[in-house]
Amino acid sequence: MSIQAFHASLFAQDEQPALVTELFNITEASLSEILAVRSELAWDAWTE
Amino acid sequence: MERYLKAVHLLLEHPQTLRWPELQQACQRALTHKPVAWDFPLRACQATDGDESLLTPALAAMTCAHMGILLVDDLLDEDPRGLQHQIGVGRAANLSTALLGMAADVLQNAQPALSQPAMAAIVRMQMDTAYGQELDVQNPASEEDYWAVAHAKSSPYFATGLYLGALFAGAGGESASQCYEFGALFGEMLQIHDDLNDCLSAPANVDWLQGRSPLPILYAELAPHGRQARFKELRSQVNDPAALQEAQSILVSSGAISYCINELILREKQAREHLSQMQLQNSSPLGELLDQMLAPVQRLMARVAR
Repeated sequence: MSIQAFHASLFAQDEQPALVTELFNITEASLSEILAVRSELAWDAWTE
Repeated sequence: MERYLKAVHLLLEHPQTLRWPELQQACQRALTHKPVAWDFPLRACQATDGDESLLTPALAAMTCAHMGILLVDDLLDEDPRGLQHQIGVGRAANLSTALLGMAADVLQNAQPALSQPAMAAIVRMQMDTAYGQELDVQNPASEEDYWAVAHAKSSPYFATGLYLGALFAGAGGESASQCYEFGALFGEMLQIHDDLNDCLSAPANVDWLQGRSPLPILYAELAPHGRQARFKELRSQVNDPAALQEAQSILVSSGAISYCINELILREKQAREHLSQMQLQNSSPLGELLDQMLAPVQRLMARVAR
């Protein structure tokens, strides 16, 4: 899906499929919440 | 693990390693620092019910190919952790060339019927990865270019790891090609992970500092969100921790992180569909790779559930 199309669907006001709602919830999270998950799961473990 | 150590010892005993101290050090380090995807040949071999004891040359080839590719990456990224800062750019480049050459050379230790196709596969991987790295340093700035780079740069290594495993298992050309395609999808997923990780690190990663466009940054620059202008302004200030934090917050609120997660999920579906169509004795060793890749996504979703 293109960036433009994804952005439009993510922030559309109409009723959304569950996955889009979950993805929207990420946008409402704080940076520290996102960083906490990143740290817990060590995404970089794949690349070190 | 035992199979991995056997593979590293094959590298340590190679005549080129014995006469080149830096090569020796690199291979010694590999004893305790396993490369990502070192076990891909093993997984494909298990999935196709092959004889794992024949895999040593394939595991050795993947290990030194990974070291060689990382050395080039560090040179291109001017990574402050790179070996070039200890031994100089020229000698790091020489070492990389030697490692990539050795990756092909150790495959001569394979059974005669396998060594030729295996060497061809590893050489093709090197050519394809170099092409991807060449595209990458040109800082692609469009979506189309981004995906071209992700596919060209990240897929060959993972795809070849699985291909070699299937080849050594005697799985036949079609199964080996299917393993290659699965690995290529996995490589794209790993690139997305890598981009997420790099963009969210602090202090600012080279992707920020060198004007690169990893996927989250590309999104934040192209999507029509309200803070696009501010994001572009912040990009030149990310040496300042406060500016980096603000830019990273925009990645979250603009949907850039969500977009990357969605792309991971789309590829996972594609990879699972591909897996279901592959004729494998046991698909679990490959399915587990997808489980591991998606675990962080599931944790993230659970964390932010409202």
